[in-house]
Amino acid sequence: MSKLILEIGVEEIPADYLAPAINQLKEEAKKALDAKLIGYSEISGLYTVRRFILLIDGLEDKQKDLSFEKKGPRYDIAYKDGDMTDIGKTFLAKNNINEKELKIKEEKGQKYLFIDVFEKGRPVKKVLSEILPELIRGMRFPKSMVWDDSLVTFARPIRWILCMLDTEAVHFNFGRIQSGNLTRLHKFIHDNKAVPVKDADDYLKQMVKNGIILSQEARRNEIRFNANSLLKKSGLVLMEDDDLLESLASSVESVTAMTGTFDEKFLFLPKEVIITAMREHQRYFAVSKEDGTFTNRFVNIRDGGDKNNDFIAKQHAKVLYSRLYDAEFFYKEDLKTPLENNNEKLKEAIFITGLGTMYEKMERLKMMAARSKDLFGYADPQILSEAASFSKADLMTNMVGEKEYASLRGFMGGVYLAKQGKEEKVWKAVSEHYLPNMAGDKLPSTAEGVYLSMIDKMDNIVGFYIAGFKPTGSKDPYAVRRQVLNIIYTVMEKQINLDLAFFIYENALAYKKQLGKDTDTAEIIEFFRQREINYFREKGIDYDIISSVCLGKVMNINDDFKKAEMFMEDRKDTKDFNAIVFAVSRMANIVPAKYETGKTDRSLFDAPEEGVLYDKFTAEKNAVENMIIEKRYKEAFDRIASFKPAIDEYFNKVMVMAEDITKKNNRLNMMAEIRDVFYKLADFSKIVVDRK
Amino acid sequence: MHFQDLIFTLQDFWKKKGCIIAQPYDIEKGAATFSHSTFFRSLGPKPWNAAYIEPCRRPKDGRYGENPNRFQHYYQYQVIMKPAPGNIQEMYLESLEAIGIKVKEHDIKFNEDDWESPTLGASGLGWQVWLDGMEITQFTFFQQMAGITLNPISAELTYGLERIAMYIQGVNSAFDIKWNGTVTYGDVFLENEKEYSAYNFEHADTVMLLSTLNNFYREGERLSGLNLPIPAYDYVLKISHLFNLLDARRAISIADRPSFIKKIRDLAKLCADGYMKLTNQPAENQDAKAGGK
Repeated sequence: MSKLILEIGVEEIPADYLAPAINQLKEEAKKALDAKLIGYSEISGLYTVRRFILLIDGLEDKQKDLSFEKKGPRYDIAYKDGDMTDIGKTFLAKNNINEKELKIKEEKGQKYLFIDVFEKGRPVKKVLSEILPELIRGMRFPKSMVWDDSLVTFARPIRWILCMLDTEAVHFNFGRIQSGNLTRLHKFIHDNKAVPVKDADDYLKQMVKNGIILSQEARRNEIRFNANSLLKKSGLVLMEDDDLLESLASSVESVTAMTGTFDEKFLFLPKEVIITAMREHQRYFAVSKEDGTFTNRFVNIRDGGDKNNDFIAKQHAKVLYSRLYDAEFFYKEDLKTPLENNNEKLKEAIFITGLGTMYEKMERLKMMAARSKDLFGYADPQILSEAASFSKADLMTNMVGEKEYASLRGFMGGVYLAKQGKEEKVWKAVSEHYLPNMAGDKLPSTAEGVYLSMIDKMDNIVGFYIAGFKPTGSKDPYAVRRQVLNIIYTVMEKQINLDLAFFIYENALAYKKQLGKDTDTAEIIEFFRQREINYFREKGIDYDIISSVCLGKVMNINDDFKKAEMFMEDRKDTKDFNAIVFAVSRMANIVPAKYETGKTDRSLFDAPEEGVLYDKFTAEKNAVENMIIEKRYKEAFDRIASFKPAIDEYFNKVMVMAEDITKKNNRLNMMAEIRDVFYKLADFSKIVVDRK
Repeated sequence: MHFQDLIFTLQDFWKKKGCIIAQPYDIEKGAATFSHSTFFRSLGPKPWNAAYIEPCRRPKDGRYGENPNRFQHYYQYQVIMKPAPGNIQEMYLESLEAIGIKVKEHDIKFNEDDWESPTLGASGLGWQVWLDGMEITQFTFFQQMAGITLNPISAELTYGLERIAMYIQGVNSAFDIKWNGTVTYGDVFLENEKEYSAYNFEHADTVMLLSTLNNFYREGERLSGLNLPIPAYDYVLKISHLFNLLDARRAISIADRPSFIKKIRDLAKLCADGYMKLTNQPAENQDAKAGGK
């Protein structure tokens, strides 16, 4: 059993490329080893910003021998009158055997030629030297580059490849690089020194000894630990920021934390502005007191020892000073004029090519907000319209217009509106209307924020469809799918009672009124439907129940879900549930698909069972309908269930498809009439009934 | 280290690494990449190693000399090496040592950067180099120039001289940089910054500039039609600067921006194609070669 280490030494790879790339390498390595019949016990992967490491444990020394029967041509083609034909001879020649080694076997009544094939496994080291360069070549990144005349591509230049099988170097070429037994130590601390490696374990030991941390988790922990032990003395703690932590851990090989201070005078700025200046551009952690109070401290992570740390921290503070100085300037400038004055500038900003400006978008949001009573049952459309009219103005402020602070869109608008003394409902709605960014994310905290967020997102979705950027397969450059999921997530989490189909239709109408542009709303509705179905699947709803409730012209996801949950619960009592569903769908199924329903005529009844069922129906019809309208789905279903004995009796005694066409049609009319009422709850025929 | 000594030191360093010390090109440009020494010379198979200082103009960045870090005129120090040496990163770090920045005593970061110049149709991958939290150099492996896929690949290093000088001298304003023992950067440029800011933002005649831009564009096209890509390229530089001036005057709407940029890029492409043809470097083969594996 042998152990392999492959280390691809590179110049600094972008942080978010690393984890996906190592996972891909591991997967592909598994596939390659399996395909080559090489046994192993475990594959693992590690990385730093400057290396990808693949470790394969328990490798066998040789490929498995391969023996199998190879099928040749049919016997009656390979032989004519007992003599071998050209086809038969070719088969022998190709496989380099003589006639005596042939076997004749029958398969499905036909005779075929067969031969035994045996391939001896080659030494694994040799095979590895062939497959490893291919594995490196197969690594995929969001962007790759060429760096020399070999024209091989990788995320950044590869500078060395270490490859050892136990204590022997595995030699191969990748581009201009020759693999061997050398690794390199830390770029700054050890001057990028090349050192020989004995084997995989020796490699890991040398890395530990030299302070190079190969595991992402260990680097994360080290950053947290170093930073907090530094802060603890002053009663301070790191403000958690998982994204920043992940990105920093992916950007270093060794970890040194240092803390610096910025001028207290900047603390009057909203702390979100300061945190953004620190995290988005300088990649510093913010620091708070143990009670959560924000402070004028920051933490920087360095990769390269701790010489000169105090001086370096002061330099960082200087850079931060000039950033905060800019932020202060933007902030003060922005406060000089009312936020809404920026709306004029929105006329210069394109929304989506061919779909007018951001100003026109804002106007559409206002139009939709004005309809919020009909759309969401929201009581105060005036307030929402006002919020909509301010919602995009911050895009043109000094602060948000600056790339560095672009992520504060919405939030800054809220800050400025609050300073202007606008109503809390208004500024909060503006502040939070970009939330959520993804399913599972924070949601707007107010009803106004939720509605404005949905109106904004729907306007994007419909707009992208009109402009021809609808999501297809893997292509979705404007993240339309994510925005749809965000709306569904919001609707479900906030239990919003609305008809999404109507919402889509109204939004498309707003586009048409304003720009004269149109799209097929059915397509958008169908896209929402599919996401709704996926969402229900994830929530564990059975597929047939989804099909029975996720349909129709109205799309009220919360209603659909309530029904689905009710059916799921009822289904637990399988026997009853099946019997009821069977009885109800029996009525529906007997009505031909294209049957045009007429009126039921009581005077045409001849069997008493007809009268019994119809009387019960006419007596309870309104009750059932009301229950459905009032969303008392369980009661509605129970009431429908109470029809079961009458339905069963009916089918026992009555022949629906009677000879007499008038009677037949009358019975069909009655079946259809009952079905139409019951199916307001769900399409029972879609529910799979176990008839055992 | 005085500002001029910083320049001398870099010149001396890269001279010893085999670069010719080129001189700035005499037309306004927004970045050193626009210079002949980079734009034309990164094309085609011939090796090329050059280092040069390049004055850059970004009309919109003027602040009337009131902001210590932003100016409409500044210097870049540019190194272009083709083919990119395998140890280019080490050479770069060595150059920092040469100007007195000991890499072991500082926090140096190579931060991901996908560089792109839409006006030149150029792109590359590399890093922004940070020194103790401040960006001091753009480090790029060119992949495309004027839409042409490159082979061999050039490495481009662009040092921000003022920032480095401020850092080394420990001053908080570029205008306080000591050019030598007696003259400051402010002595040389403060008045320029004030006047040019006024010109760029307030007085530039947009009607004249726009019609000049259109005239220059036609002249560039005409010259490239006459197989004179190098003079034609002068007009790429000129219209690119005129565009920047108009932009500073807010005379170009957001909607019109892309079409202006495309105009400049198209002309740059004509120049690059013409240059490749004249120097017997078939652009098409280049594409095919570099595109394959």
